[in-house]
Amino acid sequence: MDLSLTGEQEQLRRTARDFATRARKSGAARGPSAAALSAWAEMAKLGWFSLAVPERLGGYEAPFDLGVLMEGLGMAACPGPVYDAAVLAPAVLSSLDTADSRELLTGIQAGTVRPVVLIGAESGAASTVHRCDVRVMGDALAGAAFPVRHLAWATHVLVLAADTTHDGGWSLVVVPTDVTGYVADELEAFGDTAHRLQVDGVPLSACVVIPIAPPDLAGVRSAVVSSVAALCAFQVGSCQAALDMSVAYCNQRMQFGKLIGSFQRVQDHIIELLIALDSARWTTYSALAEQAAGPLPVVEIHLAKAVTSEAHLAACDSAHEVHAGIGCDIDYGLAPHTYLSRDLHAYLGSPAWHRRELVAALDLVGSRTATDPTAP
Amino acid sequence: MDFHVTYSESQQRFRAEVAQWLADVVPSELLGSNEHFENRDAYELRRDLGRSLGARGWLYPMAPPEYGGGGLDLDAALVVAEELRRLGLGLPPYYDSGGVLGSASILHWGTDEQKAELLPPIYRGEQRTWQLLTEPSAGSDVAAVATTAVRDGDDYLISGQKSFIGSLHGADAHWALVRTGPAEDRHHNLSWFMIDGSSAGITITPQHLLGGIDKNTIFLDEVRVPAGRLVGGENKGWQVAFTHLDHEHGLRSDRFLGQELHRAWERIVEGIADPASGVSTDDPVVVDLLAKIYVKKETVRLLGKRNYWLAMENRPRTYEGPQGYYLEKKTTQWLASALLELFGGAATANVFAGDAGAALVEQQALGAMAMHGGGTGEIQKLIMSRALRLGKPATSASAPE
Ligand SMILES: Cc1cc2nc3c(=O)[nH]c(=O)nc-3n(C[C@H](O)[C@H](O)[C@H](O)COP(=O)(O)OP(=O)(O)OC[C@H]3O[C@@H](n4cnc5c(N)ncnc54)[C@H](O)[C@@H]3O)c2cc1C
Repeated sequence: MDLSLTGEQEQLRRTARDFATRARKSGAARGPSAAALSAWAEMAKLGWFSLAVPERLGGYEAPFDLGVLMEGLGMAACPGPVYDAAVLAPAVLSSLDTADSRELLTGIQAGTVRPVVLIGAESGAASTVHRCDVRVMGDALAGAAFPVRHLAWATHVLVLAADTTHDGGWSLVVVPTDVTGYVADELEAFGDTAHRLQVDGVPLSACVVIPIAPPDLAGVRSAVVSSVAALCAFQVGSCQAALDMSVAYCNQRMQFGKLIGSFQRVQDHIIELLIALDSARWTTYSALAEQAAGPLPVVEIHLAKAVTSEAHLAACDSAHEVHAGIGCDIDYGLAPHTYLSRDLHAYLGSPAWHRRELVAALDLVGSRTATDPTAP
Repeated sequence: MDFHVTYSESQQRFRAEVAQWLADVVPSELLGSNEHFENRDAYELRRDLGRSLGARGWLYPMAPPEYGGGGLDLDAALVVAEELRRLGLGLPPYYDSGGVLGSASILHWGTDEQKAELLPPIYRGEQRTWQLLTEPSAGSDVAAVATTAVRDGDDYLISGQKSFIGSLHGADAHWALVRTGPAEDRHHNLSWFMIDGSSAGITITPQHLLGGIDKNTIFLDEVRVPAGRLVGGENKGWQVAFTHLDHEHGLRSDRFLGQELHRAWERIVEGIADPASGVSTDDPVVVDLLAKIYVKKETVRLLGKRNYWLAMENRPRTYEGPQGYYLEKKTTQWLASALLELFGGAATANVFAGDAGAALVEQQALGAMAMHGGGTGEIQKLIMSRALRLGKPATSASAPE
């Protein structure tokens, strides 16, 4: 057994953290400025958008390294749809493997395509938005999705749309964000900008439509599950930042003539934060490591997200208690993590959803009936 | 034991009178509106309403009538607060922390002259007042404030910096805790001033908090304040602070009514009925969560009710105020996570068709900030522990620390 990161992985995490710190300082959080777009190009050049793409499709798939990258980016709450571009879109597109999906993968890896992925719960996959009821209607799209983050960054929206024109019932529709009928209305939101996206009347001729054959839908769902641990890693990075900030602050802030870190009640908050962080980290690392080693570790993945979403919230609440007033000031640096902890809580499935999937994956109900015929 | 406020026939008539009057004067713009994000026009409407309430003595209904208060008893005062709550409004119907807390201190500690001069503008709604306690290096340790007032003839000159103050749209006056004695005379070097907001030397810069909520940093540069505006005696500010903080930590009627959490509950009920919420009340997890939210908000309300009764009946109190305040803070913090569980992604962005959505989303910011304002959770625990004399031998003298 060896639970350490390699020197290269440590380096990758540091590079990612420093990169995200600079991206955030450039004001990119508000939207894709010139500085943010050049940062995007740099990420592509570093090969970060290739870590979820299999070699046969031109990438160099490495699930654990991808997690390490995301952890580093999470440490500075990297702005923009980096998770969509580095993890989710490549996984979904790779699972479909058509000429169209390959072309898009090339664009994503080159940094010219900036995707936002929209998946609703009705598809049976972990959802990325609260509601997504986009349908193929004749030769156009209809419906809406909300709330959608990072839309201002996107060149394309990848939406899993209900499609009754073929047996599979679903298609992946790639919608360029400059087509007619595409309407994004900003919503009042806590944290990063969020939109309600309406696609009524967007002509299919302006989109790429990838029909999903019945046997491939399971593949898409698996692709989404396979993307969850890297999201958890992003949250782990954010928890780590909350801890680092809190420890530094409690060893510097004086009240009553003492460092606040010397108060047991403040120490308690740091300790709770640390428990949250380590719980998130080790469930996540376990899922990433199993994923790198073999078949999709469904149990470990659901475990990781069920733990990490709640840990992220707890870590930020504790960090706020350590900081009190100053932590609430949006210029201080804790706010982006607080926002993330809430944005990502139900993203790709709420903790309750993952707990349910976990129990299903453990096959508990089945085994109990098998051994105890009197059980209900 | 009787948990009900009993309303006599005349009180019921009073309720009808209040309700009718409010229906006539409250502008529709304020119904369901959120003060944190309102523009100047809406703020002015709130102030107009405050002046109208003040003219009838209903803005500060229990305050003595000789200073412009209503002179009503507890039950009648509650009727006014309840009828405003029905319209989604507090009492006062705008953020007036320095008015609520400052007037309680002035009433207790001020000279007759000061009461006659300083209370009527507050009670009549002519003046909105912020409270100025916190400084960059004096938060929990509020006794360590470094803003100083130096005597200059018949006036004082006040200089320093206050942070996390107030709200939007400015204030007419500032109720401020400052240092008037040497730094080493801890607890014997503080004084309270009512500072006119239009005085020269005051600079206000906005401070943006989570969720778009606004506070301010206030710079005071040799602000000239008449000596008559020092309330409670020079260097006696620490005693006065107890009146101020006691009110903040549990004696307010909005606590008695469990106002904030109850309003959140009403919005949750509205929110789950909204088709965009996607919440199904057939789901046992949802049912359990709703029950938990209700249980917690009712517990907070009943402890608040007890505290208010204790105070109004002048019964002995020790730990109760900070206990109620702490539980309210913790519940507000917890509620944010409960809403994420209940509404998922809809808890962080307003996707709702109805009016409840914006306020539900705001609960995320309120949850992250709940523990800090008015004394952190730790400070509430500290005050409770002291009141309970934990770790103190039974024989030791009970001198306040
Ligand atoms: C939304 C909001 C509104 C506010 N409104 C106002 C206002 O209108 N007017 C005003 O004057 N101020 C206001 N404040 C400021 C508020 O009163 C302070 O934030 C609060 O008193 C805590 O001070 P601090 O932020 O400096 O934290 P600190 O005192 O620096 O506390 C940092 C940490 O140390 C802990 N700590 C400190 N001392 C002890 C101790 N002895 N034992 C154990 N733990 C300790 C705290 O609990 C906290 O965890 C507001 C703050 C917020 C967030």
